[in-house]
Amino acid sequence: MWIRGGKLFDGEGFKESDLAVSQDRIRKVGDQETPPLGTRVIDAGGRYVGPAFVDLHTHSRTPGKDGSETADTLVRAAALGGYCFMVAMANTDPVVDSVDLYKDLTRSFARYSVEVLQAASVTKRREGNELVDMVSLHEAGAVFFSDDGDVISDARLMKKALEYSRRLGVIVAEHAQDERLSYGGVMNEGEISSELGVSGIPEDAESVVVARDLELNRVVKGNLHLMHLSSLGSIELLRHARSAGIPFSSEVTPHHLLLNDSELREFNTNYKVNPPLRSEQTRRALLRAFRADLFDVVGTDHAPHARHLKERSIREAPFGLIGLQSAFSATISALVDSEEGDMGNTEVDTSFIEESLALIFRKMAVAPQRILESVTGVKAKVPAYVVVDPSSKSSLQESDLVSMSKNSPYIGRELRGSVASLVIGENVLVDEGRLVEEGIINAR
Amino acid sequence: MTVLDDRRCRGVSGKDFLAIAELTKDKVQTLVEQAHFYQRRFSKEGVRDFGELKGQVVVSLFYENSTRTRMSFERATKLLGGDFAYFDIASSSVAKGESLRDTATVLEALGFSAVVVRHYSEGVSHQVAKWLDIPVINAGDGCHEHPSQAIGDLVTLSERFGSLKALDGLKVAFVGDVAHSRVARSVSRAVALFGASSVFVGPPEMLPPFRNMPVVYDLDEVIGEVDVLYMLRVQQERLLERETIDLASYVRRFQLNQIRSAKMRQGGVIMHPGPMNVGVEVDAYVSKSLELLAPAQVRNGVFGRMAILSSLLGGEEVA
Repeated sequence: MWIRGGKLFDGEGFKESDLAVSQDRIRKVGDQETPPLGTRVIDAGGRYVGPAFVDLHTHSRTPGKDGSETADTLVRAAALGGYCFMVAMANTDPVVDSVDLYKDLTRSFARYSVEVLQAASVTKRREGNELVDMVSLHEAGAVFFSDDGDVISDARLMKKALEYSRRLGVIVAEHAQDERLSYGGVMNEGEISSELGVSGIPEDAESVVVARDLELNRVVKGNLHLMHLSSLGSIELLRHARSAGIPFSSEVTPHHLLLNDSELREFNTNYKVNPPLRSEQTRRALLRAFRADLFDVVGTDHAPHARHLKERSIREAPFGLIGLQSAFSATISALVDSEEGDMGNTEVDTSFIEESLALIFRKMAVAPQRILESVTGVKAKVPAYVVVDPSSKSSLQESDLVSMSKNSPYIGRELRGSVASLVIGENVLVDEGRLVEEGIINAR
Repeated sequence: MTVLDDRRCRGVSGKDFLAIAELTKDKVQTLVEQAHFYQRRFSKEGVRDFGELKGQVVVSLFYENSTRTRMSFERATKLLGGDFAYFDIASSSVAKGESLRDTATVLEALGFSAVVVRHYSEGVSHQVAKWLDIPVINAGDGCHEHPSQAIGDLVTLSERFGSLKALDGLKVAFVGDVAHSRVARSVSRAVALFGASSVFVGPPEMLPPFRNMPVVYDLDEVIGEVDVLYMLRVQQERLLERETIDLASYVRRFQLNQIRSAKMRQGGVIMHPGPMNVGVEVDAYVSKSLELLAPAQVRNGVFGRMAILSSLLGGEEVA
């Protein structure tokens, strides 16, 4: 497999270069080389080429919620979004808290060329009372533990989980949100929630748990991963922890970078997400912190919900939005088009776009791979590449979405950027923005 | 943006009546004037059938109990010559888990002319309005808005103070659980359109978390300075949730009683959306006071709702 005629990401910026990809290795191709007979060639057409994306935060809905997403629809949405690898959260029905279920799921996901790494929960049934058997799960292959969807309220349990994470070389990922402070909340607590009379989730509900977890990890030095951060307080705490040498990794989502809580004015439940979309002030601060390298990765928090579940009142509809297919567009739009002064600019500097694109490759591909590999030793089995166009603008239509659920906040919104191709080893999964069915199932 | 100053139009189409925040001053004024027109013809000329909605059937979709508001809409519809139907939530498919959208769609398919929605969640009438082609009227959505109450209250206030113009410069105090009050949100926005200012009175736990608006924690501090004391209904079940306030303390600090009401400004009035908890937000004396406009509010609520229904369903442009 050759990718020709693209500008290749070299870790920092982009250089025109062709690439040969196979199941076990990649190499740059010299100017004079011609592809061996029978080599499939993808024409990047002057667009940008970089490592395919890795999502440490996906809700697969398998098992138990196949009315919202199935493995088949999930991997297709991921592929169209340029993802080659994702971590599936454990908040399924039943919860992934046992070796048997972990093994079953791992086996069933293995048939796809998009790799799905199954996470296990931190506590049994995600009830927050008792740790899962992390040792046995680790022996079975589990390397990512999270009660995501819920916080680990009990500080003692969290400390223990962090201790295990260090000993075993696994990641413990926290959904940082104090249950009492966020109780009954529907959207960000702020001016807009006061105006609408909708009950709020304050930013401090997140920050107090971030503070607690960082403090616990000061001594324990476990592999703490803080998910979907969304508060000014968290930003300050991360800065402080970094300078104090407290280990952690952190995640921000595309939607917290692009959208703010004024979207809720229309009472569209596709904007109901947890943690909630924050104020414009906080959104901008998150974007600045993201540019300043404070967050390690972009995670989608892809959370499909069947239509009938979202077609309820804002109080009753579940939290969550789908994000895999649109993550690249949402993030590049946030970086290029949503900052003060940039709104409505038609002409954007190429170097500014390339700088933003390089940040995206680092945060959506390189860093998540690196964190996973350095902590757990696990890495993607085969090399994977995407061809992206960071400039073209288009408006997402519901019919474009291949996820079984359609709860995207971006329907009808003009976004920048598209994923043209996805190549995983010798499989082409996406070609000129269209799914290639033969590539979905792993031939090997 | 606060409960006070958000008047921007959110581009909701004119087919519905959803929130005071989305209406222009002109539109509100037209509705109030039309309500006065119905009121005059009703009380002076004895008209009981205005005929405008002949052949039309308005249906109520109430996910929250409310006898008064629903009956007020029913009365308004029937005075206009229309018919009124109820969708009974308790015995319907909603109880069996039907989605909001599916339920709403059924009402449209049944051929009703308009649907009056009340729901315990904010924004439901907005959601229904997007899904349906027929007009949707918000009869109260969670803690968000209760716009038909506000139209009726403007009728009452303009009657009492002489005209809508006379509201310019008036001071209104909303007393009680402001954070959870759709009435306070709608009425404060409505009076602001005509130049009246609002102050919000209650314990900190009952005021919205972001208080970009005038708040006072002590009723005695403002009672002598305001023209309208709008006493909100205390929802005792909510008080219990608060954990930090007890009823006795609330009553001591915020009840409008005989002694406190003596401090009111000359010509000041008391309003209450009903139903009143006598012994909680007001005492027995105040509940019978001549300054209390509650009976007029109920009466004018009907005329306000007639104006709303007529503007959405009536054949001709209202005067």
